Amino acid sequence: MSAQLRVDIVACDGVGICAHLAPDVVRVDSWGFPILPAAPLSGAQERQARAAVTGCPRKALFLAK
Amino acid sequence: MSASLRILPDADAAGPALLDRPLHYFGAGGAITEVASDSLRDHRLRFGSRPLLGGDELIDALAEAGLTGRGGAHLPSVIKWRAVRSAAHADGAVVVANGAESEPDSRKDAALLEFRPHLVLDGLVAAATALDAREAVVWLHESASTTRAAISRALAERTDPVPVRIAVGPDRYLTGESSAIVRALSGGPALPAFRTKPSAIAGVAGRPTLVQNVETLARVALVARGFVPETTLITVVVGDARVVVEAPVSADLHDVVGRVSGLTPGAVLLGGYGGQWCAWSDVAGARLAEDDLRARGLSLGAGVVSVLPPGECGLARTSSLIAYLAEQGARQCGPCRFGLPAVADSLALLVRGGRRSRHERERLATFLSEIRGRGACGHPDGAVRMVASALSVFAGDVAAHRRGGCLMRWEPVR
Amino acid sequence: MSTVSPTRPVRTGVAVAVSGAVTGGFAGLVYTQVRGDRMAPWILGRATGVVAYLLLVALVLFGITLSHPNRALRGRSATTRMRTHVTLAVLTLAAVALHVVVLATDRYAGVGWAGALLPMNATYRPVGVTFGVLGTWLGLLAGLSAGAAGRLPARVWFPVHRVAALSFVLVLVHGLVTGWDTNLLLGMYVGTGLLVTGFAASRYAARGRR
Repeated sequence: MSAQLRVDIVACDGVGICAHLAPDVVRVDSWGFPILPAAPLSGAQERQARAAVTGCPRKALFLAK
Repeated sequence: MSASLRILPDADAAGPALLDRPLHYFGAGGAITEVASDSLRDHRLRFGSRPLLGGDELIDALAEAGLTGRGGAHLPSVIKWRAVRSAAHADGAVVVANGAESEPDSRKDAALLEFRPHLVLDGLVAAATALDAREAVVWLHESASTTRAAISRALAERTDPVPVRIAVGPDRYLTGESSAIVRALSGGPALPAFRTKPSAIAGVAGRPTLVQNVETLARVALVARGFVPETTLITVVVGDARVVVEAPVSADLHDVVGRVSGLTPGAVLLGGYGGQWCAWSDVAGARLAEDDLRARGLSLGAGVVSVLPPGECGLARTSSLIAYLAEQGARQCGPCRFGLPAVADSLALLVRGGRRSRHERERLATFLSEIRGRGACGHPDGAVRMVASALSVFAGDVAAHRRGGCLMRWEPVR
Repeated sequence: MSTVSPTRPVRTGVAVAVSGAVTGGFAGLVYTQVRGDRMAPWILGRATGVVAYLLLVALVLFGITLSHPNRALRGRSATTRMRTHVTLAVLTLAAVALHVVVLATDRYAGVGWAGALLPMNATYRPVGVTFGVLGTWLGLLAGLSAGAAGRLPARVWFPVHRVAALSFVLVLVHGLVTGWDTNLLLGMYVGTGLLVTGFAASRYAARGRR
């Protein structure tokens, strides 16, 4: 299952819950916005990513194949 | 700057030149003193009577001529045309002549719209009929009153099979961005859209939309008459002056820019505020042709060449450019809204120099790498590219500023 | 990206052990000092209440900055912000728990366990205490909803989390009714109440987009 975590950067408000829920996937830039890996996620990373997608208060994250 | 510059080809196959002579504009937003628009009669005398090619024939001719757009990607125009053609819609397509020359220093579109309105309109109407469009729009900045008057006068002289109207957008940098145009014409704000479907398929009000630069449409009109255009329009910027020059694509960049500007630049900014700085020696031997420049990792973009005279500080100039770009962002996404002002502030600190700025070079590099590729549209990427190229080309100056000085007499770093 | 280093659980364990020991030490010391003193539990109950309230104010203010439009308030690192918010929540919970335990076990307070945990069950100022009871349960709900952020979709947990606002109001009223016996305390409640309300208003007023 090769999924990629992506962000709708216009909807994102830089709150940072994704970085808290998916510390092994999400890195945060100098202004609080997520820097996401281009590579497909491993199993453990995908679990964290799903939590981040679910937890985002702006619904800005999504998983793409 | 010489007004009697003869740098145009004599070949007949290329067709008549777009402009008689280099056009001199002065000052930001300054208009040329006397606008001599071609009337319909002048137009027919100059370029010949109505276009011959239409429909599929025209599209094939465009493919053969290798006509490209002048937006960021310089794609072959025929790709967009074919995409619009094959996307069927009950309400027909929309074609837009993008005359919102959002590069503040560019004047070539204004020149074409003011001096050769009928040629541009011919191209627009040819596109409309070839693509089954029921609507044609000329898109301009609000404040471009001279241009608007010229187009209105020209429209009054014509009867076209497709209704052509003028639409205006705000006087901002992003008004010329194609997704912003589509959004504005669909009733929204003139800001870039973070969209999934390209506008060729679903643009204005969901209809297939072609947004084409004014210069490209002028060349479409030439191709429709059976000519194979060989020239390109560039705006050479020196200080307050902007000179629109037409030259063959095979012309030598050093030759054209050197003669028009009347000096040997220290460095040039190619492609406008979101383009790239290069040392004058870096473009020795380069031609105006996009392929040649791309092979060197450069591009003319909207055709603006900004000259940095020897003795002017490139970092200071870059600082004011990035401040402008930061202010002109759409404020729609974080990396641009917060990142570009951070870059502007950091560069300003670097220019000011002194002890406080000793870590600024590293901070700036971090910001640039964080912003690159992460905006909702291409605006932050252009800004980052411009600043990164400045830091590379003016590296010696960066070191000098950190020590509290300035090279002033610019020298290339090897 | 933070990779969990092998020393992190060890460092966390040591930190917990040390803080637990220090807290336990002080608690034991206080207990030996006040055992038998009738007024001590009462004062302790009010003291823990004030501490819990102040921590709650910090927690709510910090929570508002997380999505406040004025980004200068947010500081630099998003991970640090989130961790600080969680830490404040844990500390607030601990302080409230202490407050409840002290009052519930104080024979002379007129609250008891039933009064501390259930509405309208206290003998002393039942209405005032009830505000505190409800405020605490709602606060707990706010904390749990945030804890479930990874499992519940945001459209579910985030609105539930906002019950924290109501929780704060209830706790503030509780403080004014049962916790005010000096003008200083009154000033503190009114001042912090205005501060939190004003700050929340500034966050939601600028929401042209959100």
